[in-house]
Amino acid sequence: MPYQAEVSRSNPSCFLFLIDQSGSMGEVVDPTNLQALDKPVTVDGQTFTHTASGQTKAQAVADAINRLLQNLVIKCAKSEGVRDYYHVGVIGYGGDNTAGRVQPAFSAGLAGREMVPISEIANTPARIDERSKKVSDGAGGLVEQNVKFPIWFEPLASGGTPMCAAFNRATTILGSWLQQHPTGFPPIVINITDGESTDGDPASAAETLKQLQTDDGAVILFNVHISTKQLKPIEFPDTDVTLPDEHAKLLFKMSSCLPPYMQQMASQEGIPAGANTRGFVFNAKMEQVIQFLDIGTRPSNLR
Amino acid sequence: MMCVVSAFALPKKGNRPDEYEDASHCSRPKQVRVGGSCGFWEATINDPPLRLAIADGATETSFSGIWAAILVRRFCRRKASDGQWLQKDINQDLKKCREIWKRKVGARPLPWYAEQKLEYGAYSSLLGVTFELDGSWHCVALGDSCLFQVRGEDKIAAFPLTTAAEFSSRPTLICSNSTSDDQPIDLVVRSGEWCVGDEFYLMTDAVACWFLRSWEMRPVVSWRRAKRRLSRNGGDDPLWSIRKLYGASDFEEFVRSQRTALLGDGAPMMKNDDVTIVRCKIRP
Repeated sequence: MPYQAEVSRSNPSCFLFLIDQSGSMGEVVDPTNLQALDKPVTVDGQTFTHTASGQTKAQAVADAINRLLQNLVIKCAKSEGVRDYYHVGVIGYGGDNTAGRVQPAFSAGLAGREMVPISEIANTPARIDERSKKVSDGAGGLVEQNVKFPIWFEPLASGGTPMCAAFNRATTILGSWLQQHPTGFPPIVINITDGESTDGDPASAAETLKQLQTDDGAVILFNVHISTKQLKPIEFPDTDVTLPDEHAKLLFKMSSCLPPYMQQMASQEGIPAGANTRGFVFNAKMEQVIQFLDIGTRPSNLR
Repeated sequence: MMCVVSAFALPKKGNRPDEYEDASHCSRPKQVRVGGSCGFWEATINDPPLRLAIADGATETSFSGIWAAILVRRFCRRKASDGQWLQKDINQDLKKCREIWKRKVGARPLPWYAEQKLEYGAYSSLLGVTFELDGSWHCVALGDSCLFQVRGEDKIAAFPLTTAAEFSSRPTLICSNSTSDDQPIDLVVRSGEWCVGDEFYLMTDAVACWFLRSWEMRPVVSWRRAKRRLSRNGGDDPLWSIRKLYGASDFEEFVRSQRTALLGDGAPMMKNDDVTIVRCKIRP
C-alpha cells in the first residue's frame, strides 16, 4: 500500500510550498474591516471616507507559513536537537507582466535555498519576533503572554501569477530530491493562490509534477485558493459538481486525492473524507488555510 | 521467595542507544550482571514487597526518556506501607515526578524550539506491578505497556490489553505538565495470585503487540504435540522466543528477526520502536 513509508532521519520526506506573490495578494483579508479616514479622499472621481484595514492576504499567508514552520520544527525537536525528518522548500511566484518571478522565498541566512533540512530552518530564522498570546491563568481566566514567533518568510505582492513556471520549478526541485531519496515517503506540494494563472493553463505542468514518485507513491499536490469575497468556502470536495466556475474545477482536477492516513485525520477534524476526497480548498479563509496546512503536513509515521 | 529478574532493552532501528526512551526499574535489586543493553537482578518478594515497572516515553515529545525514568523509579520506591496505589497517592506522586522533571529539563539554557516544546510536556505510558508475600500481585497501568502472567505453557493473564487488535497509535499517556495536579488520571488496575514457577513479563507496546499477535497465530495443538514440536526445532512459539533470551546479542537477533519478518499484508511482525522486556521468574 502506498504512503506507508516511515519518515526517518536516514530516509526523510519533504514539503514544498508554492506561494502566490502576485499583486492581488496585497489586498486586505477582510475588506469589510473599515477604518475611517482623517478626511475624505477622491480617486478617479469617486470619494472615499473609509479604507479597508487589517492584514493583507500576503501577510496572512506569510504568518501561516511561518507558524507552520515553527510547528514543524517543534514536532521534530527532541532533547538532543532537531531531527531532520523533513526538508522544506518555499517558492514564491509573481513578478511583472514581462518577466515572471519564481524563486526561493526564504529570507536572510537561508536566502536562495531551494530545499532546507528542518534543523537548519530551526537554527536560522531571519529574526524572532515577540508577539502576545492569550493563555490560561489556571484559574479560569486568560492572561497576555509574550511568545517568540520566528520569521523565515516575508510577504511580497506584485505582478502576475506565473503558476505554470512555479509548477515547472517544483518539478525540477523534486526531480533532484527524488534522485537522492527514491524510497522515502513521497514529497507533498502545497500551492497557495488567490487567482488564476497568467502564464498559461497550469493543468499540464501540474500533471507532470504529480507523475514524479518514490517507491512509496506519487508526489502529492494540494491547492489552496484564498479569497476575500464573502463566499462560502468549499473544503475537501470529492466531486467538482458543486464548484462554482471553471477556475475552481481546474484547481480541483490538479489536486491529488487525500491518502488514507490524511482521510482519517480530516475525519477526526470533523471533515468528511473518502477515497475520492481531494486536497483542495476553494474560497478559503485563513482559518481554513491553517487547518488545511495542519492536516497536510501532520506526519503519519515518524520514526 | 526469590525472583530472577531480567531486563532487555533496545532502541528503534536507526536510533542511537542514547535516544532510547523506554525505562524499567526494579525495587531493591541485588544486581547479578549487566551486559550491554540488558540487566539481570535477583530480588526477593519479602517485606517490603517487590515492585517492577516499565514505561514508554512518547516519540513526539521531548525529554520523554527522562520522564519515563522518573515514573518507574517513583513507582518502585514507594514505601511498603503504601499498599495499592490509590488515587490520592497517585496525584501526590505525580506532582513530585513533575517537579523532578521540570528541574532536570530546566537545568541548562535551551534554544527557542526546545523551550516551546517543553510547554507541551513529555508523555509516557506506565505499568507497575507489586508482588506481595501473601501470594497476591497488583498491577496499575496507563497506556499500552502490558503485563503477561505465564504458568507452564499457558498465558493466564494479559493486562491491560488482551488482543493485538486493541493497540492503537494514540494511547492515553501521562503528561509531565499538568494544569491541575488534582485531576485524576485514568489508571486501570488488576490483581491476581502468583505461585512458584510463574513467569511475569512486562513489555512496552511494540513487543507486547508482537507477543499477543504471535500468540493468536499459534496453531491450537495438544500439549504433548506442542512440546514435541518445540523440542525439535524451537519453532516460532512466542513464549519459547522470549524464555530463551539470555543476553544482549540474542535479544538483538530476536528483535531484528521479528522486525524483518512480515505478516500477510506486508506489515512487519514487530513494529520498529524502542523495545523493552522485563522478565520475572518466581523461584522457591
